[in-house]
Amino acid sequence: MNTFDTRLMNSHIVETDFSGILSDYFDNGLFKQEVSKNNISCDHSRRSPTLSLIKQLEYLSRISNNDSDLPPNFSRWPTNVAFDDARAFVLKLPLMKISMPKILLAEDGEINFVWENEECYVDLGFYGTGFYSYFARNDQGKEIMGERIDVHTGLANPIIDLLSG
Amino acid sequence: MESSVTHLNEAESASPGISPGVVNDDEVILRELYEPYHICNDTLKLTSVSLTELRETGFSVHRKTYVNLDVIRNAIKMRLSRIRKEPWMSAGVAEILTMDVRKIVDANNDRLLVVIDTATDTNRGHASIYASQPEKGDAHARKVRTYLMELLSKRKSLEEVYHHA
Repeated sequence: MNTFDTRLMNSHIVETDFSGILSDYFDNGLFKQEVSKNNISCDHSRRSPTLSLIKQLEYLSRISNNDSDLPPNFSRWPTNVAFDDARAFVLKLPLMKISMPKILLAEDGEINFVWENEECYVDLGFYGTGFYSYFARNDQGKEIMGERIDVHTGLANPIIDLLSG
Repeated sequence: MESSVTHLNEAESASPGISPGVVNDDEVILRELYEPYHICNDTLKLTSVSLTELRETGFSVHRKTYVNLDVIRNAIKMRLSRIRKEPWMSAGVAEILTMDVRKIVDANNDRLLVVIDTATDTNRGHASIYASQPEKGDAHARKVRTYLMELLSKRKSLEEVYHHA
């Protein structure tokens, strides 16, 4: 069911909202040249947040598999399993209740999801182990952590509460 | 594991014989940061510090007093030239007081980070920052990363760092 839906929606994004996708990659710091070269402006408002995240992961996965040039300081790209884990996690994100995370790649093969606003900060990531971990802090300085959480269980409830509170 | 234990002992150099000695609290340490890989839109990215660096390989820094300025200049030059298709890349340096790294503690008053002298043959001013309790897992390492990131937020040019010494 997910595969079918995603394929349909990917096609929609590529045809109608490609500019927004490139803009997200600019945030990852890997594709600024493409964005500036094409002088693209972005409009995030018309895009499904889940699809946008899936599309970002697909693009980053393609780059990881095709581009032999590692960015400076990178020791490795994320594995395909890490992308699978991140994708499974995204499909369970309650994006009707919470905002979209920013997706970043770290130098050691981590796929990192970050939520940051005036109320809280969440650092959550995948290494392709089937699990994720997180650290979060609210504006009062209260900290919570989670270790080895199955990616298929979705976002942990304390983080949902934090982000939707 | 044995080498990790050795590296976490701030009272001993990891490179006796070639180093100028252990890193003192009042020493200034420097870290190169690159845009867009570490910084985007004037914001330091969370993934500028990887969990693997904090737990295993060490987060590389330069001891301002002992590093040969040419070592940093050459490192920046080399990294900026590695990916020629991205001419918009730029570099800067974060300047940190060692004591500020060492005084970060958790709720139990346990230190989160250590600064170790890790001089090399080509850079006797090389040092490394590690999580002091790497065995605590990824979630804890994310917490440590968050605190270290707060010290890296101010970026200067290399010339600015040395002119204001």
